[in-house]
Amino acid sequence: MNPTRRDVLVTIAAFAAPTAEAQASFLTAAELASLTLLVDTIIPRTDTPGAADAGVPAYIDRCLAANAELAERFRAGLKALGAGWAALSAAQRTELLQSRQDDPFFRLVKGMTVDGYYTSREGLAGELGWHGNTYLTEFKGCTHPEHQR
Amino acid sequence: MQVRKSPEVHDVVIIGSGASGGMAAWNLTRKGLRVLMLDAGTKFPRSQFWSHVKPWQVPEKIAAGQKPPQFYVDLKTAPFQTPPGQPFDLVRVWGRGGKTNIWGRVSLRYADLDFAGAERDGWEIPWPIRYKDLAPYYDNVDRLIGVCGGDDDQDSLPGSRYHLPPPPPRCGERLLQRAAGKIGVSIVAGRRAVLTRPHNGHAACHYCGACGKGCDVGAFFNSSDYLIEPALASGRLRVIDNAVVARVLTDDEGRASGIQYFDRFTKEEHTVKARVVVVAASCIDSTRILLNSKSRRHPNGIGNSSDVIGRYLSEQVRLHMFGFVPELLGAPVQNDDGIGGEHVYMPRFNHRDGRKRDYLRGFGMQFWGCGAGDGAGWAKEIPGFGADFKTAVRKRYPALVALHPYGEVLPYADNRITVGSAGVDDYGVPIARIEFKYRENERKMMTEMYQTAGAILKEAKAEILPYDPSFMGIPGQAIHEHGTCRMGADPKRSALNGFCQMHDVKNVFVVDGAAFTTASEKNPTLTILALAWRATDYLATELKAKRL
Repeated sequence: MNPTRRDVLVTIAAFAAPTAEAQASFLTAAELASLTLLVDTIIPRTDTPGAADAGVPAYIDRCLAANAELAERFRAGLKALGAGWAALSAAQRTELLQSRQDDPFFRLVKGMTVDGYYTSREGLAGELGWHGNTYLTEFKGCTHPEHQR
Repeated sequence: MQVRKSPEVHDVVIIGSGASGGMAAWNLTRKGLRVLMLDAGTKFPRSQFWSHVKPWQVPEKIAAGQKPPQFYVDLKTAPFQTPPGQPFDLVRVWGRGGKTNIWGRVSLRYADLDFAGAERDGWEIPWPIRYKDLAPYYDNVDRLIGVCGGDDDQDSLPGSRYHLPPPPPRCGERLLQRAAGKIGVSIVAGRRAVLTRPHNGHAACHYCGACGKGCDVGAFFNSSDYLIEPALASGRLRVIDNAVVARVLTDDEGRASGIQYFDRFTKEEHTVKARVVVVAASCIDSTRILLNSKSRRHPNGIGNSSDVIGRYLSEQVRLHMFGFVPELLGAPVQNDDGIGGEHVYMPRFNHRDGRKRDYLRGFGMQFWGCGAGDGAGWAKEIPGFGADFKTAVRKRYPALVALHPYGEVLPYADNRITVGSAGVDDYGVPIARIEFKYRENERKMMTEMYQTAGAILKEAKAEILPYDPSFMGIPGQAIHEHGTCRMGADPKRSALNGFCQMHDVKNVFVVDGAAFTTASEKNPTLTILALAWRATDYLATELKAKRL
């Protein structure tokens, strides 16, 4: 029997060991906690892993460590979320983001979350189903009869 | 510091190891000449390419202290200057094979529409050659390196009897082809230097789609494996690594006598002697070398009595539009890697009967990125957050189509490279200042490029991703620089003849993109290879006849 999509995802998630936590992070623990809530509001866990499951906070942390100007803007944005951020329910957090679609900080975090999540094993292979960059002897192209005109 | 002077006089010294330098070395050694190649870097070992590193493995490998091959030379090693507010992105690879290690591989023949464009519209000068002059060399190149494609000739895009079988289109490409056909725009099989079957001892493509990271089996043309290795095997080619060329040296009569270069790392100065010099360092670096090669006989740079060297820098202007075709929304995800890059191409059509335009020259269109890719950067433009956002992205992922029109930039005398006002590099050699602007003609052409891409997407009933129609792109990003040492019939208006030989200095040949008279809308490498082959056939004949 072929493994189901969910089986594969569970297996993949098991491999996604928390390596980043073991290393010193650029952001403080409090900042990382706010960020984790934020990325998981953008791409939450559903029947597939979410952004936090896929290591997106660590991905963003690495980006910030390499770019001082970006890090400064990012930290200011996290700070502006305020103390109440962590107390909001998931639904309230989503609502807040929805109501401020054009906010530059939310756009920035969304962009970095998209980059991190959809290049992770969980996001790219698991969620989207990418199975490329392999060795094939033949490329069949489009085989749908209805597309052949 | 003492200069290390090599006494040996080489038949030919070639500056650069990319497409044009590799072709020159291969062809000249084949003809029995003894050749020295100066390469600004070293060989990139295929075993170290990251062709099969998955996106999520990249951070892991970097964290473990590993690095992919460093193809791109950094700006500290190879600086250049642009005026404030006038950016130019210059992409250069120093090392064996140059940019052919990671090139886009699109291999389009120029047509007489390109070579003779200026005859019809009067803008600057036409090429001194026509398609019939280059056609045998295009055939030669196709046979040597292997180019897959169709036999579907158009007036703006000649076909080839020697194309390898083209790969079938991906679903999204097929749907765009169908939609374009309905509005009278023809999309044909692409032409790409990728081996769809084994060819001349090189392995066939295994459809992993990672060409941009270098091919681990060499299944697309790169100058190192396809040209330089066979030339080395002849025993008549020597390559000096890490040789950063500064100047072409001249004798009292103003003829080229050799080359001055610096070791990339020790910065030690060297000179070598040559009967003939072939300049193939890529458009802008070649031009910088020529302009820096000043002497009593060449106060304006070697071979530059016409004052055209450095002028007429022509890149291409391009845009990127994305959409999602309804037939593929939520469809099962396929492996869309194919031969990397698109399998189809839209040849130029705006010159044809019944079409009107308010600008000169034209544009074609590429389609790289259709289908399931190894990322989803476009998802940033999909509105929303949360589970709904995730679903919206997943649904669109297999349905992505991408349209990239490329347009010709006219040659302008003041789109130019100069040296002398921008300081020097770590070797003490004056760096290039690049001044480049798009003008009215490019803006008008861009309007029609946006309209055409939009019309195809609309006909395909695609959801179009938001875009900014005033965005002209960053010059240099097409990585198609041409024109700064152009060929032409009139020595007062051009630096080279139709064989890439300097009008002023018979023993200097410039064989890279700098030699192009116009940019055209097409990717240049196939034409660079054909021109370099033709030029070095002529060089060998002239050298044997003692006319150089």
